[in-house]
Amino acid sequence: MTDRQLNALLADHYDRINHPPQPEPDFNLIPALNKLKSQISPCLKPIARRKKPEPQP
Amino acid sequence: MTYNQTLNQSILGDRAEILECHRSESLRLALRITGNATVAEDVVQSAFLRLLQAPNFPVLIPEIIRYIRRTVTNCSIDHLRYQNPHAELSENLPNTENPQLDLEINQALSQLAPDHRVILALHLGEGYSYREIADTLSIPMGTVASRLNQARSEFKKLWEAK
Repeated sequence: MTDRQLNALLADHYDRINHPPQPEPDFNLIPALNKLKSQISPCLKPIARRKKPEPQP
Repeated sequence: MTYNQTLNQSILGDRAEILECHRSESLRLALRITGNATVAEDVVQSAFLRLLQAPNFPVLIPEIIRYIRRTVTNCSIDHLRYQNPHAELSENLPNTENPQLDLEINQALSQLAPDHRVILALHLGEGYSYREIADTLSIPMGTVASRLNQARSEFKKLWEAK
């Protein structure tokens, strides 16, 4: 058996044995990422100055 | 609850979510190293527990991925070294297209030294480069090359003798 044949035999074996796939996580729903997004997004917008309230007569 | 307790809980929660995203990949890696689906689940569970408690869990994504792979690999090696690998021979493989061949290969792999079994799984199963293997196992690249050669010839002997 040559090295190439051995590599192919084992690579095919490793390809065939695979754990049953787990459901893919929905990245949009991961709160950690959402929290990060909410922390970053204010930094991307200019801070709006609050208008001073008009003095009441 | 104090501020620090709240902060710790929040960090652990985030870490658990990150780990969940890597569960599938970790299970596949552990299965390829140990050759047993049930053991792979146990290995990943103990690796994740170790990762949840790790004081120096990295912050950047590439480092996190490397850290998770390294921990899962180390837990798999621990299993191969200390849990009597010959006791639970390869009956617990997932269904494959060629079950008889896979069982025979798995039986031959289970007779290899743990270091050799791991390096074959990382290189030929996961497709890691020599550098990635050196990083995962914390060994020099020259050792990766020589260990891979030894693993190949050890497997070849076993395979041809059967």
